[in-house]
Amino acid sequence: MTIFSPELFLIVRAVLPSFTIALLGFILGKLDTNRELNQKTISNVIYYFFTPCLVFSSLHRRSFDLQEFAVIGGAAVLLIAAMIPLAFYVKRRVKVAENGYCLPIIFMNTGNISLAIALLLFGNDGLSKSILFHTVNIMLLYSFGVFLVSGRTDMRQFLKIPALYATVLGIIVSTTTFSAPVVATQAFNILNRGIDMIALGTIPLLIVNLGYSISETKITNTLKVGIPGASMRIIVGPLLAFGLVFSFRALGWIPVDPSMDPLVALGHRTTEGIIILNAAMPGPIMAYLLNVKFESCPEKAAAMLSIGTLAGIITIPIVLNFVTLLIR
Amino acid sequence: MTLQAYLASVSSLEILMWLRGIIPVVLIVVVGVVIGRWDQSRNQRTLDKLTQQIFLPCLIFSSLHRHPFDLKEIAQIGTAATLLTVGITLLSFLLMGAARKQQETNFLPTIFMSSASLLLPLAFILFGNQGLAKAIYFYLFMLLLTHTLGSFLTEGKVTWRQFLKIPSLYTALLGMVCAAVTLPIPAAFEELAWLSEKGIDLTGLGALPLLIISFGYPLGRIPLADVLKGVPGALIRIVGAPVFAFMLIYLYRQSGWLNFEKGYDILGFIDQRTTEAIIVISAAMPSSHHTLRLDASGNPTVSQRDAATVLASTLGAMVTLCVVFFFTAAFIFFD
Amino acid sequence: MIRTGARSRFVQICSIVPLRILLCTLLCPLFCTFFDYSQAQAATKEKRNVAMILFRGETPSEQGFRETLAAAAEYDVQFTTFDAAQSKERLQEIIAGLDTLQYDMIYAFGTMAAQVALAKIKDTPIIFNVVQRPIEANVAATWEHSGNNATGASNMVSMESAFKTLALVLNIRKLAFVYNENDPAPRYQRADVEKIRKKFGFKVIDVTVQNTADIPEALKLIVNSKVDAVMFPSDSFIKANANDIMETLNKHRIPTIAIIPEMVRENEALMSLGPDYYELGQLAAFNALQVFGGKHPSDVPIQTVPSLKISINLKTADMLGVNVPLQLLSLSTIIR
Repeated sequence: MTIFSPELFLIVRAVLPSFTIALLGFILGKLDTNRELNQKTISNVIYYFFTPCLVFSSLHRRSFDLQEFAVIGGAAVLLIAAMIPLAFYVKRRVKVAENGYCLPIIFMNTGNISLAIALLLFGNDGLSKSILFHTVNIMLLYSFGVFLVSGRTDMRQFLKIPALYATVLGIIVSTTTFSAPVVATQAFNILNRGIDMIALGTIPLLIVNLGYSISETKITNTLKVGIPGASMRIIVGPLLAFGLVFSFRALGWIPVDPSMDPLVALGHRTTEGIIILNAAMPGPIMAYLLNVKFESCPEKAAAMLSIGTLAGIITIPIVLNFVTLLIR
Repeated sequence: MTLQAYLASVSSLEILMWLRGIIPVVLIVVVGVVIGRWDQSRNQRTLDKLTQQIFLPCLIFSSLHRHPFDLKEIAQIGTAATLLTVGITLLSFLLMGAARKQQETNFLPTIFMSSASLLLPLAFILFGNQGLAKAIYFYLFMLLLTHTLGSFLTEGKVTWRQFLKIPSLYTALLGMVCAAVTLPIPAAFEELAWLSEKGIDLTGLGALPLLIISFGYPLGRIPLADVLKGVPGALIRIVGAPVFAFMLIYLYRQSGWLNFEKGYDILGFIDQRTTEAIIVISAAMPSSHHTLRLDASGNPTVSQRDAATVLASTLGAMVTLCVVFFFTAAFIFFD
Repeated sequence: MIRTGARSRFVQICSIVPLRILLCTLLCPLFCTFFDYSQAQAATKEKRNVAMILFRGETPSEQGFRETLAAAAEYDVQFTTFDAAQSKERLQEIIAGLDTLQYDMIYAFGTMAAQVALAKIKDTPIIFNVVQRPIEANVAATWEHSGNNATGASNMVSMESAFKTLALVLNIRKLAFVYNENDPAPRYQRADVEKIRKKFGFKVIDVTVQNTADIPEALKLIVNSKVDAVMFPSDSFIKANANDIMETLNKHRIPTIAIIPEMVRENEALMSLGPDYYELGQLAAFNALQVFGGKHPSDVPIQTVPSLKISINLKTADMLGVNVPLQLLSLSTIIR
């Protein structure tokens, strides 16, 4: 088994487009000396309009498989849970008091980079599964994550997450089989086309926004505290994910049967690939924004995000190469 | 064929396909209006900068580098754009000259249509890749005319430097060169080039909703009560212009510049009809939102009349575009 | 008040026996003449027997062929159908066992059936239909003169036109080309695709199937390759198994273009560019009528349709999230 196989170069090439788009955002950020781009506007537009449209657009078209949802959602929950003690351990070692430091370690950036890679490497099926993972991740970020950084439990914030309703609606539509009148069906198709169009903008806007955000951060002062957290996220995260995937196999939750239909088998391998891909992601930008909101070491969070994202250019292809070797 | 027969030839399917195209665009404009009203930063530049600097150039390159380079097609569309603009300018001076003298209007919303924000997404939805490429040609000519005729009308000078700073111009040229010249790419780099192209395509597609949203963004700030002031300018824009465009198409056909024979390969026929449709639909677009600027408080900086023209033409276009499409389907795409 | 005067006068007139006889005498010959004419027509219609050798069952081509011949005033054509059910062995059995003396003409559907028929049958005229490349397949010497006892209609489609049509709707860099290796017709189309590949700048993933057991692996290859679209040439095996194939590809949101128009209506492929099969049957029938009329098949030029038809399945387009351009509508058959 060779580590640096030809597939590695294929993966690097697949990952490169996402980083190229992020680079465009980065260059725009550097040239935008007047800071005319309002990050809050972009984040709100993505959060309230684009992401829910992407979630609905993807989920309502595919058949809903409860077992698949349980496996992917369960994996997201377990990976996040497993990172909690590790994050606190790192926080204690670097002697940081604020809990906000843990957010970029515990949670993953499952939107900006992984959706594009999932689409390019695993196709529409991979994108849908990645969206499921992403939805669970952000729901936990906005509930448990808010609690962690603010000390407050506010279920109203959780219930205000637009992607939550988009997920529920998407699943309802995909599982509904009653035949509606022709006019209603046409009206739904027309509305759907609008949703699909908005959904088209989500992935590139997320990646451009990521690049722009990185251009704003200064990492030199907080390099020392940023590196341990970022390393924990992008190295330990995928290792845990590999362990989880093999455990799922051993428990029979993800079948591995050589006589299985090839497409069904491919679907299961894609699920595993998506779990590991998302676990290999650096911390989410939303973690930084929450830290800003609750004034919990935002500059350290920003440093971790920047280091993790830049290092991801190297670590993500390596992880995907192992996915190709060991999983697919 | 009688007029009745022409109109009867438009089937319910074509009307349905039109509705499937226009209604989502209208809905996304409404989303833009909502964002514009709800965004506390009142920063129109955010969306404009994103679309103009990154997304639109990617869309233009993505479309043009695949579209077969045809100088005749560019000439047809460019000539139409120029004649339309000049014609509407003359009409504006004729009918609204007094208002200009009183500095109530600078004619820009009347003369210049939304040749990117609404036209490009609509062209893509209705006419696919082919229509998008032709609409891009139209847009590029309108850009040139904006920085020549448009800036002459407002500032008394041509703004070449501004024009030459537009990123879309360079990506368009690059796209056309790539389409015209088949560069031999080594097989090892072919996949790499295609993957990079995929990234650009992804970004280009993202331009479509952003363009529409950026169009809707400032509209919510224009007082509805003022809309009547904009009706004269709007009528010239959304009624006069498409009538002029239909006359142009008729002249093109009569002169033989646009072929009307089907032949064995119907694709050439389709291509010509699409060029005609793009010229007409482009002419029927409402006023460009770029003629409208918002200040820090989120209020339009242009005159009340000009702002009202933008709003009136947008509201009116919801009806006139349907009528224009109906006639386009009957006279251009009839069987 | 009942007016009986005029009526009773008429009855009185008609009750005159000689007048009745006169009326009958006038009407009967007219009736008999008509009766004699139609019988005479039937009596003068020449009987013709046609053996129809099908490869994959009935298609609209056969319907067009039969109906056109049935409408011919001069001939009373009887059809005997033999279906090879996609089996080359069965096809050879049919042709080997065919008593050509019984038939005035042999109709052969598809390249394989035409080739096998021509190898065995030398004297009886053969009308072939849906043969993509008659010259390359050695079914005919030239389009104008076959040089043998065959003539017919070709469903030739330019792959360049097919790809240009697809490009109106999708951006293609990776195209999967699915075909049965055993069928000669798709190979010519594959060669055509290779010619345009460099011109349009795309990669072709060959997906070959020889039997139904190969289909799952083929689908896996297509899905794994993350192609932009899948093209199905004029291939009887693929058509026969199209339901399962399309269902999987539509589920994975992979667009499909077919050369056989029925695959859009019956199997929910996204779009097709090809000849109308009914029209092809009519063209083949026109050639058959010329042969019945005394012309040698070699002197009857091979026909192609005057224009290709585009078919689009709107339901599939919605499922895939694909925009159907309006300019195609006026020239396409839209299946909803």
